[in-house]
Amino acid sequence: MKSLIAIILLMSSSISTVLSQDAVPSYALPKTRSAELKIGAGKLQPQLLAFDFNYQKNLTKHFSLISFSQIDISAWDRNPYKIYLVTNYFFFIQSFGIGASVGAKRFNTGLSLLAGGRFYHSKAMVNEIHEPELVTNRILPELGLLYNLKIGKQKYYFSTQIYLPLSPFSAASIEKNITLSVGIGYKIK
Amino acid sequence: MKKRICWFLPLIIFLASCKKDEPFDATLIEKIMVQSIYTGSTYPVYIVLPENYSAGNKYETLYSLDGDDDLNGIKIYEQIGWACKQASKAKNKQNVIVIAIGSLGQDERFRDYSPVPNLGKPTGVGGGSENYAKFITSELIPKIQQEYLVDTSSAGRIIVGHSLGGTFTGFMFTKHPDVFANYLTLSPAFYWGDGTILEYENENRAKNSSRKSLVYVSCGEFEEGIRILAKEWQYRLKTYYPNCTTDFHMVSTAGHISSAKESINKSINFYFSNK
Repeated sequence: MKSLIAIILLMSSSISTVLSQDAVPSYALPKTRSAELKIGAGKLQPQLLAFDFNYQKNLTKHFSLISFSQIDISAWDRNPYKIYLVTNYFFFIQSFGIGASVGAKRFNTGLSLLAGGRFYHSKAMVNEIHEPELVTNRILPELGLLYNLKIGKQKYYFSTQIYLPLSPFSAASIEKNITLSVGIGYKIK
Repeated sequence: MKKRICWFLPLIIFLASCKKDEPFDATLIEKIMVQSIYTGSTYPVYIVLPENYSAGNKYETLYSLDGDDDLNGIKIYEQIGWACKQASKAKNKQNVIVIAIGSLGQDERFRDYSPVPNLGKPTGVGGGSENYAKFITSELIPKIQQEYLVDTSSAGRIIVGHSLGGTFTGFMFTKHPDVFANYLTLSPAFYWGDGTILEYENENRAKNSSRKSLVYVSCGEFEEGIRILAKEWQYRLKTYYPNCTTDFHMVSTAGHISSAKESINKSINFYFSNK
């Protein structure tokens, strides 16, 4: 619920900022740069809040380089399916990639292929057992697809994205934690 | 031309590395329906016979829960049948008959595999394990013994279960230890019912601790909630059951579903290595 309120607040502030600005050049200019800040949640693990930062630099009209950072943290530590347990997660993903996009003035939508790494941390706790804490720390290679939608003609614009990790859970699509995020972007030019 | 070969070579190597397990011989599989007066349901049961199944032999039986579930495009009973064939050949031991009990639906699965109603979500479902145990011991096992050439001792029976099926194998170990002597417990959901299986283990430890069993426990690295309790299970087996032969395996960089196939293969290898 808290995460939903946070998302709604962020969306409303993004939209109001977008509506109160002067027009700037289109998304599809070579060498246009943009930075985006977003908040979202996971599909498989809805208790995970995602915070995203993207930096994008156009190479041509329709191709760009992108840096993608995401931090996932547990919004609450009680899993409703496992009340006996307490579990906390923290993931940090840093990836770089290349993307293709369409749309110039009012909107821009694109798909990027990203590769990088993930720091995976988790802590599970159960009372009254021999080892009541289990901590996992791993650094893993990361491969993912990022779908991004930018809306707005101004310097600040509304942006939303879906990140689909292709690894480390490559063998079982059901375990991929797809995140949906919304936020605000800024054209640096 | 050389350039083209350079481009295609990595692709060929990649495709060659994607080799699938060889398909399982469908003629070795029989399907029967078994009705239970205890649970009120009729279960599809898949019997996977060993190659060269013949009179004069007595075969051990491996009972699988969730037997007809799909595992990345292959049925559980096919995967288990294939793993048993490979392991028995590799260890030069007689293969087993796989008795894979099919699933009816999610509601029946919760009802049958969980010993008590769940306290978390889904709330209040479950609690039918005692009836399901009666189905296996009083209806299914006698039927199999009547119709197939099987070893009728508990030492000749194995039970394998994944997730909530793993919880049920823990239930059989703690509450009905005379039925099976071999337990392959894969990613067991021991958190179910607020850790009921661990409580059962504690309550029945004194009378069960001298039993001779093979117990295999496994889980994926990224299923922490299951892993912490699977490790506790392993600790108790090693500490309080001196006659138990046990092993624990963690599937690296795998979750609940992605660890299942490796867990099945390793657990069956464990059984054939130690039986």
